[in-house]
Amino acid sequence: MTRQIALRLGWGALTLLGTSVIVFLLVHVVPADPVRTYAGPQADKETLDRLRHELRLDDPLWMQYGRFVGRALRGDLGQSLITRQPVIEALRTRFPATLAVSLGGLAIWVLAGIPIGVVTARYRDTPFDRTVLVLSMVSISLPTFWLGRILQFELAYRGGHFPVAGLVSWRHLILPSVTLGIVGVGYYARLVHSNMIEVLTQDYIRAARARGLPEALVLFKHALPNALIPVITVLGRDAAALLGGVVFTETVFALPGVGSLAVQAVLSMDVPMIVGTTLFAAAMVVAANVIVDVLYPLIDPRIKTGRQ
Amino acid sequence: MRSGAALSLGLAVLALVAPGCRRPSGPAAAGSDSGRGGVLRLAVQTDIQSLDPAIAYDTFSWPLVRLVYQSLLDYDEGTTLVPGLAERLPSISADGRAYTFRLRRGVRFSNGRELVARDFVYSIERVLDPQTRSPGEGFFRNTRGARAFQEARQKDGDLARERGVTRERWTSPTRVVGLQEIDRYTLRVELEAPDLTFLNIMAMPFASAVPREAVAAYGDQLYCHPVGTGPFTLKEWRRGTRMRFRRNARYYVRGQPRLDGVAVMVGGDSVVHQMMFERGELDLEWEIPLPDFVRIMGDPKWKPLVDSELIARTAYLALNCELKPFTDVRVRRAMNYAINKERVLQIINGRGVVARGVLPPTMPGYDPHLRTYSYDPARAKQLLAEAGYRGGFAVPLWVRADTGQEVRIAEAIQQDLAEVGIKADLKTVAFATLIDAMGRRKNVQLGLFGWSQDYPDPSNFLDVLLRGDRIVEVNCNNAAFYSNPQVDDLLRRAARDTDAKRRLGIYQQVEQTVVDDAPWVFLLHPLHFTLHQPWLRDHRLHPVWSERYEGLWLDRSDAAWRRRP
Repeated sequence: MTRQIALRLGWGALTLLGTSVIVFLLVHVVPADPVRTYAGPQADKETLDRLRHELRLDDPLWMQYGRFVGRALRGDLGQSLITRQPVIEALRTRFPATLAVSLGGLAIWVLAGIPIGVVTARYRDTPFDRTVLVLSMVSISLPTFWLGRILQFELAYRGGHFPVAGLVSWRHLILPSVTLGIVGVGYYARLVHSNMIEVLTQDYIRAARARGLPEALVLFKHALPNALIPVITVLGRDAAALLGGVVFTETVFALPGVGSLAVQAVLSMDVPMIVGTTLFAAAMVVAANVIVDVLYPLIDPRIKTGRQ
Repeated sequence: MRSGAALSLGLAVLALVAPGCRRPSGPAAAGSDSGRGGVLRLAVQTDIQSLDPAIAYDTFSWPLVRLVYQSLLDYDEGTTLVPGLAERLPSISADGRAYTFRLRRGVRFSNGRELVARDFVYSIERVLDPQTRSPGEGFFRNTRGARAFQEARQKDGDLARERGVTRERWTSPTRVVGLQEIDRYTLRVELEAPDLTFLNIMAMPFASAVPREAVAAYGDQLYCHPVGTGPFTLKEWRRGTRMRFRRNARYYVRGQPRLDGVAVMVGGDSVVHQMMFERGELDLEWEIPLPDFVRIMGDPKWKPLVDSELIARTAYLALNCELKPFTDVRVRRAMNYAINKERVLQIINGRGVVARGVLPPTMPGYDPHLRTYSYDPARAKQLLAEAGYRGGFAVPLWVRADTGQEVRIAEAIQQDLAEVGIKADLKTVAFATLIDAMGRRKNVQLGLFGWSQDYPDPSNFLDVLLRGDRIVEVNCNNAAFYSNPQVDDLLRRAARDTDAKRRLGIYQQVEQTVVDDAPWVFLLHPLHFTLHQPWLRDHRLHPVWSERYEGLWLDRSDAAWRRRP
């Protein structure tokens, strides 16, 4: 088991290194000058040259990358070119907002998606199931930025039930969480639905029903845990993607999260911040994969890693 | 200055209004000093770059930097220089090279220490020191000994890197010889060459007084721990979330500021800010978003609360004089005749005025009698035929893609050019890419560009953008690569001239020559529209600073005040 984890972590580190190389190269082939970004559009050539030297952006690319990796290993991802804020500090201060809205969205996926999936599986092919299927498809197809704007316009701007944007109190998290919840809940409902259908055909379910157990007990106690195993994998990876930055939702609702930080970094060509936010998102995905891989055998005894 | 549209923003936030003093009911007269108190709520789209006056260099940072920091000189309601931290305007030596400033006495930094002449010596040296990485260092390069000082500091930087030690001032000169503290309250600045714009430079935020002890304490984190002499101090800056300023109890102007504080929400686009403003969550919106503009201007509730001010900016098409077909002056003139600028303005809902030449109308030396081009497509066709382009030509038109407005302007231009047989293909690129491409020699034939004033003086346009002897291979500000030795000569003369009136006359002569040579299509000067709540009093836009917050106040006796969320 320990060897397994070590191996996974090794792969994870390699993935991050690869990501850093790709991102580093990508931001340097873009035909825009980071020094110009720093100095503004009206600085003259002499100022730009002086700043380029001072920021050590006149070194060859491999040297800049080497310096970056050296510092990153010591936990320093550099400073924002625009604001001079240390990248690590920016990530740390932005993460709570992303975490809060992600948890809100995840809660809706789990608390609404799972029951809907179970019930539609039980009443499969009825008009009820068909209706929910259509609604799920709508939910899956809704673009986040569109739904966010609509909810914001109707419920906050016109209705005045919620604040429009920003993050001052927990009330500011409701609309973003609901937005995120709605666009994901349909997918989880369908996922649980199809897994439940498979499980419900199994002999042990038939046996449970034959023993005369109440249907709710059969569904939620006997069938659901087995149907949830693949769901957990997907949920883990989705959660990781969210924690790397909920880009659209954060942008629409002006939440100070990692996603909006990344967007701003790209728009302003803030190279250290672009690299930092991308690596952070990659690290989240790598971590989630390691965790899911490690947890999997614990949840599902049928899966044994390694020796068999 | 960074263009408004680049980081376009709205203003204002969700801070609680402090329970300040109560006002007697009834409408307060504008300017009445009984009206005070309250926290102004603004919003900006992204974190401002910095509150360090040596670093910040954009339209959105400056009004906030100026909450905390001040310079020796300032402007009145218009573009006339007035004393700021100086007691009066400086005396200038007969040769125009030395400026002597007397400081106001009893001004204190927010840390309690008194402001002295040495603070300005330190602050300007700090801007010049490459280690500070100030984008404004160029403005002070004309100080005597500045370049030698900069080269020495750069050498120190390289030495420190080689030795792997902390940078110190090893190499001489360790001081800028032109910056002198005569006595505790007297500063003398010597220039390499006479230059009247030095007064404007001394009014820029780059020339603010920064206390040495604050830099020593905070290092390059000074940007979020500002210590200045201004009307406010920074109370909190949660990056990417909000900034809060509060009244500086030590501020030297009695009765100012009238606000208890300023709260700036960070984040959200202009559409979000517009919604927040209309819900009463913001007191002031910096820029009415284009999609809402017609609605707001037609709404009797909001229209009286709109303020507008001409931005000292010129939008132009740069015609690269080194690349065909624009090497021929007839083609360049034809371009000017071919484009209907009035219609371009209509496309952007009339948010601007037509440009006659290079200089914006708010600029000293603006010439209302300039001979310029009218919309005359027949004349354009004739000129093209004379130049041998009877059948027209095709040319890519470079334009920034990130603001819809620029693309709309470019599309209108494209249609007008098609009328005279010129086929312009829009090449939309990111702003950063556009700047890079247009600054490269012999690279872009035709591009939509603009320039905003750093300070109100014609040299800031004519010298910076149109001097042939300043053309460089990359990062060239002369995007038309226009070179006319006669113009260069006049500009050199004007730069040295210390007679303000005669100097402006030379600039007018230069501008006329430039208009005749037509290296640009002179398009428009944009208007800036803000929207404020009925309870926000004494709001006025400023031709240099856009916004000045110290005189604003919130009228809590206003009928609308009670409807705020």
